Amino acid sequence: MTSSDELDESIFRYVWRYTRSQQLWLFGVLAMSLPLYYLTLDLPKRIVNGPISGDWQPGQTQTLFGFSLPLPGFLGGGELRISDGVDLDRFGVLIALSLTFLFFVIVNGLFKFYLSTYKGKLGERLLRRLRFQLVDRVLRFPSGRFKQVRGSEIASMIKDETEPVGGFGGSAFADPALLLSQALTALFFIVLQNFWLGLVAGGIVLFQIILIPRMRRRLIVLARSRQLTARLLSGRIGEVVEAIPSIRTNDTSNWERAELGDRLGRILKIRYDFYQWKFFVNFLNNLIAQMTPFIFYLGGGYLVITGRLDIGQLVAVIAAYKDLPAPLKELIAWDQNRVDVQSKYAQIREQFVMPDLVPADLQKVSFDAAPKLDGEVTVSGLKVSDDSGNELLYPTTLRLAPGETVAVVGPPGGGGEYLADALVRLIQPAGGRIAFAGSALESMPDAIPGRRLGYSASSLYLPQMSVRDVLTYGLKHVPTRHVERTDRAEIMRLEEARLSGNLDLDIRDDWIDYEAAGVGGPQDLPARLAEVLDIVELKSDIARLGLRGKLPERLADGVPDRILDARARFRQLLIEGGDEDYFESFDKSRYSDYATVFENLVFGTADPDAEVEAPMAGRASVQAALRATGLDERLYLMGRQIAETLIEIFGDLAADNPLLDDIELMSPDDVELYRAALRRTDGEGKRDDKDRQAFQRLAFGYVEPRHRLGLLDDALRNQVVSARDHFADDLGPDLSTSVFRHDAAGINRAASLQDNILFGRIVTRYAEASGRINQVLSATLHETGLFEVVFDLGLGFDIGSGAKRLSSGQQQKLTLGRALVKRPDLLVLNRPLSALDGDTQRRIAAEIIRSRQSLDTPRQTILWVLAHADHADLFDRVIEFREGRMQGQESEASPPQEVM
Amino acid sequence: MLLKSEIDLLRAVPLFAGIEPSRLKLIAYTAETVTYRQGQVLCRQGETGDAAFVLMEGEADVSIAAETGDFVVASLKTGDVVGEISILCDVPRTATVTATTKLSALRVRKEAFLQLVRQFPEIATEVMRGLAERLSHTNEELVRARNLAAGQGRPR
Repeated sequence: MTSSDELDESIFRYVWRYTRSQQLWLFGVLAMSLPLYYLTLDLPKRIVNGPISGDWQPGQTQTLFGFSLPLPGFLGGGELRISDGVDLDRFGVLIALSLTFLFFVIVNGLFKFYLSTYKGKLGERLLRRLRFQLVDRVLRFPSGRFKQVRGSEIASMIKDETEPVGGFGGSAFADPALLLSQALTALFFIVLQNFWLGLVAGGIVLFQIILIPRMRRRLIVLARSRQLTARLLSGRIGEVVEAIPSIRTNDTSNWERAELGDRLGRILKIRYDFYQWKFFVNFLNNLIAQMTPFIFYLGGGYLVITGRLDIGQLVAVIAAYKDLPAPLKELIAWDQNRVDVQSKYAQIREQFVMPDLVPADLQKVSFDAAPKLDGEVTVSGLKVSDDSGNELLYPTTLRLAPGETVAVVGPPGGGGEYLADALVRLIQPAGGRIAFAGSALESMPDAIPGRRLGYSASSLYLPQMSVRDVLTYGLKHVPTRHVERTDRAEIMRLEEARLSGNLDLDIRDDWIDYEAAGVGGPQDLPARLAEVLDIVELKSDIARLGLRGKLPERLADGVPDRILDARARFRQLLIEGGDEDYFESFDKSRYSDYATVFENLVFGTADPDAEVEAPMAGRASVQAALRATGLDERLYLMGRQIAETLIEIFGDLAADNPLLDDIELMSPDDVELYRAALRRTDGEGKRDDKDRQAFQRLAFGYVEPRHRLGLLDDALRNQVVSARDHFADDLGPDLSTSVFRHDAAGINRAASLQDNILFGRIVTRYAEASGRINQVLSATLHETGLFEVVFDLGLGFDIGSGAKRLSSGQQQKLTLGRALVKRPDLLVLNRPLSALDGDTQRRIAAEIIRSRQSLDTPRQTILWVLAHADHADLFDRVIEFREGRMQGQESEASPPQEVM
Repeated sequence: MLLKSEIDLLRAVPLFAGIEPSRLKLIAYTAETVTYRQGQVLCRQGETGDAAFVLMEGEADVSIAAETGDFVVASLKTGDVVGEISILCDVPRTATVTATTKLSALRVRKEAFLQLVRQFPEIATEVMRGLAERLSHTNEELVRARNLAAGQGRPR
């Protein structure tokens, strides 16, 4: 493959391949910093020996900073003086040298700073490159590979295991070079002092360098199994999360606990082994290093006593040896890190290097429109087999004429689904070939089948995104409308992406291929999406999501006004239809019977999550308002009455009795708490605030027409309404984020669009009220043109992780809609609507066949693997598969269409 | 309408007459009151039933669709119970019930009703007694209708 994609076997080669020039630059800077480093070591000696303890006559001066270049002979020899230097007295020299020292310390620090940031940046880029390469390879895994890998394991490899590799990138070459040169200098210095002592020191260093890494080989093995078990653990945890329904319905949570516990135990054992061995090796290493001075004292001392070495030399040797362990230790630490990283890298590489990776060329970015695949489809001798070589589809030959609609019937596993998957290249055929108008599917770049074929099946995974994004996903191949950005951040972004070998296309651009959807531009897209959703019978569901969902943070200009207009229109339509008694509007000066006491008190709604967090009744500003209005006692008594009645009705039922779910005002668990609270507050006993608030909480949830305990009279209603003033201006800090007030002239941000238009409560006492209100609401939406807004909000609905916020039927409709939006030349559908009832499947199938006119794809070919064979009469031709074989000759249902 | 008056009303209904007051309260509380305008339909023949109704105010007609058109088989008044058959044995509604005046009723949901029958044998016994009475009444009607048919059929 291309060189920008290689994962070399050796990590050094890998690092070198991608960071060669940066590494060389790093070497250069390092080399430049070495003399400066040497000077910071040398200057203290000169300061001590010179101005501090040297011999100075009064008035004596010294020339500093004199600098001259010796001239070669052909220029006349001698020296070229560049600077004459300055004459300074003792204090002058001290100050000058100290300042020079300070200067070099700062310069040296700056060098270090530069080097470490440079190394860090280099490592980060390498990490980004490696991760990108791995992600890229995941996208190019052969289809069969996905059966063997677990998503969370791959994720843990790419996210966690690559991290040390990135860090290593910066230090792979520079660190050993620096440390080695330091260690060698020190060793060289020792050898200069005394050859034999130098030999001893060298021998010990050699011993260390050879023995320690050998002992560390066991560490490599342990590190590798540590990595493997940890990866398996994350894979297993991922499986547990996915399999929660099976675990709950089989009571296997304890089996899972035991299994996970066993894994953790194994990991602990490996880790414990690892640390034990690691610290033992460290101990040995330190021991050897610190034993060396013992040899110097003994052997060196002997040499001094016998007069073969002078004492100054011995002291110098010991001092020089002190400098040796630091770089040596770091070198060994580096080596250990290398071993660790190398094994990690090899582990990762193993998973991502395979011979049958999809060639990168097939997925190349292509801005050209893909050629149409609207010619005849020929399938010849197509054979599909599973991993163990069992034939799933025996050699099959057939043709699909352009514009033909073909039903594939037969039992699940009969073979039709393999034909469908092979047509869109989801499975690698074991033999035979598929060609579109003569050109083989196999060798086409993804850009052609990916843009010209449409596919949907029963359980396609939908990642978390909005409905709109799901529908347009099939249109996002390359950015179609590029916004030219030239600011600094953009230049940096591009530069970095290129330095790390990442794709430099901008995710912020508009990637939607409007032409493919058959519309002129963004303004026409919603209408097309609505059309497609209508075909798959999902439009009203999406509109409902828009209607019932929370309003978005930002509303387009003018929308709030239109909502208010719709509110007025709704009221008007209701009155015109004579149904105003079905509805109760919010009115600042009137008690709303169908709202709770608390909602009436604050003239708004409370966020249910906030209530769970801390009950409203317990919040300071609510308590203050209750006390100020005298409602405190009344609501307390009302709560007591509610509790008494509920306990009288439900009190003798067992806690797990399903009838308890009907209490509504208190949860079954609370029954005993309230019974105790009633006992405590009986008679004239003292009441503590907690009991008081608990009863008030019951009163707060009370709705008279629903609970029918006859606890509200007009006096109390009026009292509650007049208490609203306490919440009129601004809510206290304890309520401002949890209570949202009704505003007759404004929008309630926390409420749904529907609640904002209705601005009131349905009088549920009337059996027909809900149905009628819905009718009037939908009439209002159409009349005020607000339906587009509703639909737009619905398109923005977040489908949740794995589309869990949609029913499985809705998910299937949505993925089918996605395949329609791109208007493919061949639409391959593999039991796409299996979650729906037969009638609905039939209706949608008929509509899709018909929709080829309205979507302007009259020559679209459809191959539909049907879940119900009796829908086959909707299609031009029927093919039956049983036990992997196509039955009979093609189609008896109707004559084959004219071809050409 | 409030719980208290609902309970008084239930006590007057034969089906519930023998049930002790605290159980009646439970039935009333788990039920809901619904109001219909004149001409609105409580339940429609052929639909699956999810609730039984106890008429509390107003009147209703029970009608069955036949080839010759709908004909009214019974008229209901305050205290009558309707719709319990289809929630007991999962058959579609056997008749259509239409309010002939403004009407309010206690609507007992299927799940709550079945829970009550399951958990309180005395309620089950009462329901059985009610159904048995109605069955014997129906049998008498059948015999009378047969005799009538036999008497009329021969001469022609």
